[in-house]
Amino acid sequence: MKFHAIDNIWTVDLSLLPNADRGRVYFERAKQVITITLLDPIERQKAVHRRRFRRSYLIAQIGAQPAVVTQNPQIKELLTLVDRMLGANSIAAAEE
Amino acid sequence: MNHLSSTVTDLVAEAERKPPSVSQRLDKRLEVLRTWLQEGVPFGKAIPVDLKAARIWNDEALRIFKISSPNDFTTTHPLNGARVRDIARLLTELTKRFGKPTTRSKPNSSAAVTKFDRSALNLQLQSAVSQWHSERDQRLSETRRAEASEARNLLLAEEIHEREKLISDLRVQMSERHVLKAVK
Repeated sequence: MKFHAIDNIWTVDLSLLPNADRGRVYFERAKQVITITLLDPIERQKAVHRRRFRRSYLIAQIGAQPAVVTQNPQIKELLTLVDRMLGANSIAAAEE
Repeated sequence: MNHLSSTVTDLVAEAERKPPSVSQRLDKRLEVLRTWLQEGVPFGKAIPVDLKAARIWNDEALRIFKISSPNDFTTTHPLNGARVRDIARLLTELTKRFGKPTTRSKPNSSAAVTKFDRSALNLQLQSAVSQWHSERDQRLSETRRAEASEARNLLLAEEIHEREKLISDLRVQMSERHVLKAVK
């Protein structure tokens, strides 16, 4: 099965996907989880520690192995971007 | 010539500044939604939940502008209807592919509870009362048994005490006899 044939990224049987498409599913899940989490103050408190998005939280939410956050280049880039964003936000809040 | 070129530049610039028509806005929505379906929803963006949300969708980064008139954004519109239907179809597909499935409520939910069944309640009540009575009887009989055992224990303790006293008396008597014999 390929990514385009996936019915739903949350219910798909990941064992049927090739590695690249599985990584893409995790990336799609991660984008969604981070977007929703950062908009929800309660979830944000659980997910963000200081200026960093908790990797363990993301792993649990997307249902991936811990290695995904260090080995999936798209997720790594996304987390770097999010951390930078969180850092900039906290600096801006401190300056205010 | 110079004047003419500046006029053309002005016209082009004005055309760029001019807000896009409803038709262009619809096309842009379709283009973005098709891209999302193929390549995934970009980080920080959310799929409009319904057609109304798609109509008022305004995202300058994506160059999507709000369509103010609800009449222009209906599935039965003579000009835009087909594209609105396409948008609706794409939204459904996007939600189906990327949306997190909601957990279904259990059959024991509030909806089920609202259906009040008096006879079932009475049966449950009777069974609870009967269980309470039987447990109370059991507890009372156990209390009685415990009290009887305690009284018997006291009696036995007294008996033991008396016998111990008797034994010690007998021992004293025996020792006295033994002493007498020794003197003999």
